[in-house]
Amino acid sequence: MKCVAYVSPMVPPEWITAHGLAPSWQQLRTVRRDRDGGTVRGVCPYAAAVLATATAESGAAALVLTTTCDQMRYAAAMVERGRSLPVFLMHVPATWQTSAARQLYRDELLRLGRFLVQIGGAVPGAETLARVARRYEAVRRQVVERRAVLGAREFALAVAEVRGFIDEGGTNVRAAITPARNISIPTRIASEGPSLALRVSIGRLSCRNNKSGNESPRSKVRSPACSETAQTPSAGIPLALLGGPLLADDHGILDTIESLGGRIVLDATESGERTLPGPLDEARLAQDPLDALVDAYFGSIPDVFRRPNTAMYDWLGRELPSRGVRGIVFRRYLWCDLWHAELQSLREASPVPVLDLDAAGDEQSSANRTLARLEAFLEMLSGASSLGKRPSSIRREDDGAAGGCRDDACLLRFDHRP
Amino acid sequence: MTNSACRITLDEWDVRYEELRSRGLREPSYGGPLRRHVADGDLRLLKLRMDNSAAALRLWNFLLSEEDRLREAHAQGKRLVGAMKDLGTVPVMACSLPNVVAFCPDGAWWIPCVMETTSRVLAQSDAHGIGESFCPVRAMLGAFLTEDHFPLPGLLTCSVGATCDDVRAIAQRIQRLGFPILWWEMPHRRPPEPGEPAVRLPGGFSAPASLVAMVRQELGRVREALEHYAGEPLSDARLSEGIARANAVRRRLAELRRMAYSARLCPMPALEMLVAEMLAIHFCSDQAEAIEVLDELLEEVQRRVADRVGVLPADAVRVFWVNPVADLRVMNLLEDVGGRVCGSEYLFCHALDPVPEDLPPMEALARMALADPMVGSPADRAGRIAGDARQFGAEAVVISQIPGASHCAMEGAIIEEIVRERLGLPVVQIEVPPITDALEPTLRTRLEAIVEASVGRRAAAARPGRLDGSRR
Ligand code: SF4
Ligand code: SF4
Repeated sequence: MKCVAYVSPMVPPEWITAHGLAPSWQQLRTVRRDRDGGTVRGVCPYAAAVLATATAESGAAALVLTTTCDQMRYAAAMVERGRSLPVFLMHVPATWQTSAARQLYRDELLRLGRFLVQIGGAVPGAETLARVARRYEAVRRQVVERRAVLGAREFALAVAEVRGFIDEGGTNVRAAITPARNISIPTRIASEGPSLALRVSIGRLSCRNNKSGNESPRSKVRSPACSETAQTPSAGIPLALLGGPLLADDHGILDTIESLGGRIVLDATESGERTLPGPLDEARLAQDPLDALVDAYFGSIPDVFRRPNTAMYDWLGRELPSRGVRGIVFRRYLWCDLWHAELQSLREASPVPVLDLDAAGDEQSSANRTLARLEAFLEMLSGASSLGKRPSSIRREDDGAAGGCRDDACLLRFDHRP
Repeated sequence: MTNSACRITLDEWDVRYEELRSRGLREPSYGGPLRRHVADGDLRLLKLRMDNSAAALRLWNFLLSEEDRLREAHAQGKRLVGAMKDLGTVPVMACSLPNVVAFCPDGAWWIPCVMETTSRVLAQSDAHGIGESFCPVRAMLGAFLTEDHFPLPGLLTCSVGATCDDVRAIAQRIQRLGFPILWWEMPHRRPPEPGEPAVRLPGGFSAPASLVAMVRQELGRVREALEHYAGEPLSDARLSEGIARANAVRRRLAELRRMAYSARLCPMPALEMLVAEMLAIHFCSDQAEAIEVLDELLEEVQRRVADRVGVLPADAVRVFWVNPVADLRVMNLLEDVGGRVCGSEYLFCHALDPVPEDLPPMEALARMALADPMVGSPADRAGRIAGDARQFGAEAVVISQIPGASHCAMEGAIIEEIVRERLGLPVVQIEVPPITDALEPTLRTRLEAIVEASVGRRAAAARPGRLDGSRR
């Protein structure tokens, strides 16, 4: 089965699967100055990773990118010029208030469909699409239900998995949502492909279903998700991780937080649960499954690129208190304007302290700095907990400019690099 | 002081101003010596060399008095519309209403340069979380907060979608700080699929008809908001008249560019040409006056061309300039090292193309908005740059990078590659921060290098025995 690589949660994998192709959510490797020739000034590390790995050797039949930020738009043009891989640039409207924006998103899905047919996919019938969509939703629900018993890294990997190809039985994903300490690592690859955790590939645009249908040798590598060091999920100071997508090598930050006595109870990164689609409307699914997908994705995902991005704050306003979050680790990439500009708004709106971590992508010194900051943040929070500080609610834009987290409450403000 | 065309310093302008006055200079209400702008904080003027004509004096005074004009309009009860990330569409619509004045808050882009350290805008932007990693447009946030540079508009619009992250991100911050924004979608301009109905856009790109229809619908929302705000209808007839007036500005600019960029002797310095081109975006808040300013400048250029008078040596190397410079001083620098600007793409070339007048006005405006080089593939923009550079006979291309701009790093590489491929010209990329004083030696060296390379190519092309006989 041909695979189609993609990196934006606004692209429904169901749509690709229904075309008879395998969606492959990419867990990209950080571009390192020493190893890969370096990052380019002005290019965010995530976009740099897309550029560095979008190669003909990737095994992907095509790459789908979206216009959700400038860097991705220009990355698409770079890949297109390099002609290493067919690239499809999908416009995802930033506005969401109008039927015209919704219609444009739907039109773009249809255009993506035509592209998929060009590269070897088949036009799906409504029945097929509805069936595939239901399958994805069922598996997503299982993953989300298991959140509380999974370690942060395991949950992140499971979320990544539900963005990939899901076989008829969803067996591959189910295996991955067993808690790490109890999991028996499957060493046999299911006929549809390798298991979830094993399939998370690092370092190149990769496909679990490669052209020959054979699994790659690297897929047998033991996943870090099975790390013996994972903490009991219920222990630790509850934190939210908010920001852009995690690169594959960034998952270490989840382990670091846990080893320092924190616990990510809300993975609000772009690759995390925040950007999972909303529930499918069964009636609409039966009537017009594509429309149901439009609602679940375009109509539901709260993300930073949307204008205005109030839905993201509304979502945080619901999720932070319901998960008992006591601090937000805000992780943004160097040169990422969209997330960077939110930092102060978030601080003003957040009922809990916010730790700003900038990720340049390629320096050991930044890893050490991150560690020191996380340590200080968690120490501060454990001190605050003895004072009985409790989260209240997040402030919406229309609450005015004055923030819930006053300067003196945001104990940790770190300088960031330009 | 000489009467011949030349670039002069502010000190020299003091003398020149008195001289012009003694000869009966007639000035508009915003006229006066350029020196007074320094007292207002426009310190960069002290470092610039400006054209010595009365037309240039009027142009500079018009540019630097925009803030006063906006305050006056506000005081007179006119409705102010701030159009963000919009290089020429919403201002055309807004100016079609008699009681509305439009301006571009993102014009604050130049404040850090023009005012050097005298403006509080950057400190305010920093304090509100928008630091140096953003492009100079971050000054806009400070301008909203300080209200030092424009009165707050009653209606604020911002196009988003296939637009730059800097404005999109900063505008969101502005909204969070309590300034409501009407967001309208600008879709990515993609090539039409085979068999898909398509339309040709001003400037030569084409786009699917469905995208044009989408933009038309979005502009329809803007139109409704304008009507609501102004309290009167914005009819098609009014829009058509507004488009005709905008085209009057554009026609003059087209002629000015044609004459100035193609003349053998450079009749108008790059700096004044850049300022003149900027008038196309929002007419510096006074459309009728913008036309007069351009008329006077055009007359001056025509006179100089007819008299075979130039401001630079005849052998100045012809350079096509890409992107606006955050520090205006760099336009002087190019000329100081032996170059001249013979063509430009300052990110808003679509605002120089005439808006079609033979179409229903909303359709024409939608097509024009989609013609923005920045909303399509950078390869499209590079193609247009290569075409224009060829047409104006460029001998080199300078891509001026804007520090912090979300598009520059990758876009610059694509433009450079395509221009080299298609034209075989020397290309250099330079980064220009708002104040280049500390970097001037480096910038000078890089510009000198490309000028020298071009002179070398010129000499090689002129040598007998060259097989293709071409200059380039
Ligand atoms: S991290 Fe930011 S700049 Fe980078 S791809 Fe994501 S949204 Fe774009
Ligand atoms: S310079 Fe570029 S990034 Fe900055 S406002 Fe202009 S288009 Fe946007």
